Amino acid sequence: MPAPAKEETLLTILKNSATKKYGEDRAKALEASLRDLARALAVIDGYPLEMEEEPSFAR
Amino acid sequence: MTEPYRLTLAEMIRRIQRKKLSPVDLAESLLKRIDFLEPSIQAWTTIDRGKVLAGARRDEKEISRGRIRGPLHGIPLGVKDIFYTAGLKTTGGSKVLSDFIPSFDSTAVLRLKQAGAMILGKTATTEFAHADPAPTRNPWNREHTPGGSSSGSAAGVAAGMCPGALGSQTGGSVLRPASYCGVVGLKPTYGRISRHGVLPFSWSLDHVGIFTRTVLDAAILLNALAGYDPLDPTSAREDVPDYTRSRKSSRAPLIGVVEEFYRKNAEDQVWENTRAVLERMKKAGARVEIVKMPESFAVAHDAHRVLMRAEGAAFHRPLFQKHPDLYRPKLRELIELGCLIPAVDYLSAYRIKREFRRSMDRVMERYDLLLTPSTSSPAPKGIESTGDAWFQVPWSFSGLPTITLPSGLSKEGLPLGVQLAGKAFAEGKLLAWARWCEKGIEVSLSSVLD
Repeated sequence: MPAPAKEETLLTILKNSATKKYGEDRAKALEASLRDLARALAVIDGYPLEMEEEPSFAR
Repeated sequence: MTEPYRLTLAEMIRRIQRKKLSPVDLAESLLKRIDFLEPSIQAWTTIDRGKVLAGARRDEKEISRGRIRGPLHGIPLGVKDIFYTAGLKTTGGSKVLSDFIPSFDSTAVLRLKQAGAMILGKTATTEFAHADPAPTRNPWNREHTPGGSSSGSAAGVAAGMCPGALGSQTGGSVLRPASYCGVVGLKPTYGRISRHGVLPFSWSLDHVGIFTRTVLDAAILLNALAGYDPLDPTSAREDVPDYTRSRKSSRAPLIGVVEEFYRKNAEDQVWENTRAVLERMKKAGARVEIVKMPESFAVAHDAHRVLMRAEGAAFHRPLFQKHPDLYRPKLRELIELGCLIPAVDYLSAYRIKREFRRSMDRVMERYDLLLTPSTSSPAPKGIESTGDAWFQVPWSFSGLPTITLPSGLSKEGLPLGVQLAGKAFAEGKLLAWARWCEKGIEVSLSSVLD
């Protein structure tokens, strides 16, 4: 999926989750920040991480 | 004779140990300075005046009998109000903890005390070290922010209220305020200083840091603070040298300049200042190259933001559910957003963090130092915002050690700084090179002490 489309899909998911969790008014108030989060999540999702058997989170 | 508050930490130590400066005179000088400036700067949340003076009298007696308890004996220091201090209120800059008095000291505070220091008081912080500002103002211009989250520590050291202070950095909370206030700010490698007893914000990103007015002073405090602590699971077992004696190599340094991201996001006057610093470094013999940053640098800010929000929400959610009305808007928003982040994306962000660190370790094999401007602009006007952490984020994300040095004044007369980054756990080398740069830059921003 191209990045802008991915971002829009993620934004829709985040908006729906925010509405369910915090109510419509609050979700609306959070819209600009939700867009920023959707963009960051799309960037992360698009980053080509190497396959790892098990990341060593302690290091 | 120089007023004691104006002395550097190193000079205070030298005079106290030679019995040329009384710890009582020093404490009184700092308290007088606080009385004079605190109404307009508001750097402190708690000052333990009685305890400080009683401690200074005790120190004076001990020192007069030749009993030096440690290298910091008789030195009063500031502590950001997120570090637990036994018997002294620790509010985290929040109404949620407005009456909280810890029963034990954080390891960092304990180590300062074991080195002979006394806690002058607790310095103002943004709410839980996030973005809702403290009331603190910049000593250089009261209409400007001192930066945050360690607002009071930076302003207090700059204004001569204390010779050094503890802070913490998750994004840019040590180097940014240090640069805005014209002082030295050191963020050692992740794991170098214990975070036990420090209110967390984001476990994988939180660092303890140091504010002083010179690089040597930062080395003195790091000597007291660094080292393994079994009470902090992220604490490193790396050797701790004497940082005041660390030597740089005898050859001129190879400095890597990070232009990518920094050039386009810095104000022109900031970049010009950085170029002027580099010219001085070159004249002093340094070789300078533009660094090619790894691919993961391009996603570091986004991955950092996701980690910080998710971990911040994980820590605060139980408290927020109990006291929603006591949380201020910016932290409330972070918690709400953090609770929406999918686990898989959180883990991807964490894996990017590890890849970025590995890549940066490889980059650092070539250079003695990396150099960038410390901030994108001088301290912004107003105290509703503490400025942006962008220029520090890659280093908090990688965990590599960084230090900011004052490098001049902006056209508005506000401090500017340069940020130096070193190899992991090589703070000794970083400090030695920073002293070399400090000498080469030849900037003294002490006028604010007048």
